[in-house]
Amino acid sequence: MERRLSLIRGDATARDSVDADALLRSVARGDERAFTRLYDLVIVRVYGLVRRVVRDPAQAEEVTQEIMVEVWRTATRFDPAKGSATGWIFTIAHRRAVDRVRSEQAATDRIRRLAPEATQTGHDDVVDQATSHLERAQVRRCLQGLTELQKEAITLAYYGGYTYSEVAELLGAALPTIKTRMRDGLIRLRDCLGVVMAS
Amino acid sequence: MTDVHSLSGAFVLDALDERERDSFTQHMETCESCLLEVAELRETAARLADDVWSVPPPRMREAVLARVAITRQEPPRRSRAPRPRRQSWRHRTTVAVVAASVVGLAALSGVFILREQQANEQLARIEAVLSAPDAALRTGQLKGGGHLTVVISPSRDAAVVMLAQAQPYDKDHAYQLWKIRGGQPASAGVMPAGKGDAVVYVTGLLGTETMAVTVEPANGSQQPSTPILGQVPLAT
Repeated sequence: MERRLSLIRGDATARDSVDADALLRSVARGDERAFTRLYDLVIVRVYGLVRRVVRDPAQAEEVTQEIMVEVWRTATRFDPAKGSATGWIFTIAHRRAVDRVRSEQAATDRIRRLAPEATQTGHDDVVDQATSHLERAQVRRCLQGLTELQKEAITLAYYGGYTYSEVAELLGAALPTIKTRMRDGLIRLRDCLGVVMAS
Repeated sequence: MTDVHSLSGAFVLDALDERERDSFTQHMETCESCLLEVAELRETAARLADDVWSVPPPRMREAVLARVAITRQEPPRRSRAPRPRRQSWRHRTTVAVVAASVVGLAALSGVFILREQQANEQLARIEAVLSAPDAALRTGQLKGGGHLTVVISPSRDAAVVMLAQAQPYDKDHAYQLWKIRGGQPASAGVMPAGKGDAVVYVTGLLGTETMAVTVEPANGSQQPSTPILGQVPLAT
């Protein structure tokens, strides 16, 4: 059930549906054109996430390519009943990025500074700006609703690629506390973002 | 490690070491509530990627597409016979990530409006609503398909209303938004004709109980002339 959304982009070309779920289902049937559209839809976020975790641009590029090829290769395993297409893609992306930093670095030098590096680049496409504004504003607002410890535990793990015991060490907190803050922080975030299992 | 269950947060953040990851995965096999929680928290964690944007070098696209062209896809996994305990969860159907997909999609298509009305100003107003401390999200479905999403900020007396994936009508018809106050509808804006996706910034919401949508002639109507297709209550 793919609907057409003729989107005017900067170059005034029309684009088909941007429904990631529908696109991924087409990709699962071997549709390369759908894959290209899916790529365009998610790539700035996938690459942004990988860069944030991996840091090194050359490595980030390599990992991002592997992720996108994996999305193609394993699209047949995507089960829409278990989550959204973007959720599925970013789960793969995050896991791959984290695997890379963990294999790259000896355990001892993994505790590294979390420089709040601005990876956002000027995207002059109004379409993307509009989306990013809406989505980012919502995620940021919801993150502000967390306690400081919840927020730090979650962002260090997600963006920094740390294990929870490393996070505990960084924050000087007890292991069970961090484990719990990650969970209750995400639960609060879930409720704020309106992520629900529809009945 | 007495309480495996509480590892769900660290699990979806990929923050467990291998051994814990394995033991948690094993635990999930027999824990129905974990499956549900992990599915939801995983979607939530994925939303953190919304906040990191970085444009990759254009050569990456060519490289990926070239590799895809010569990469065979894996066969689908045969679905295992559902265990009895998982039955009820499976029947509760899909994870709907309301905010993620609807806000994203609607924003993408909303560019039509944004463009015409000075994108930046409009984005600033939208952003102000979305980042207001009291911003609340309300969602509803449209008959015949589509979603209606309202982010309302009472302190700003404003809302951002998004229509997504609604059936597009011909160029002589448009979706019209109504503020319903004391049972009386007042127009809150006409969407672009022939479009099933749009974003509208609405003010003057005091006393408005419900936002509703109907299909009207392209220029809009004074009063709804067709039945309400979808509505979202605004009261908290």
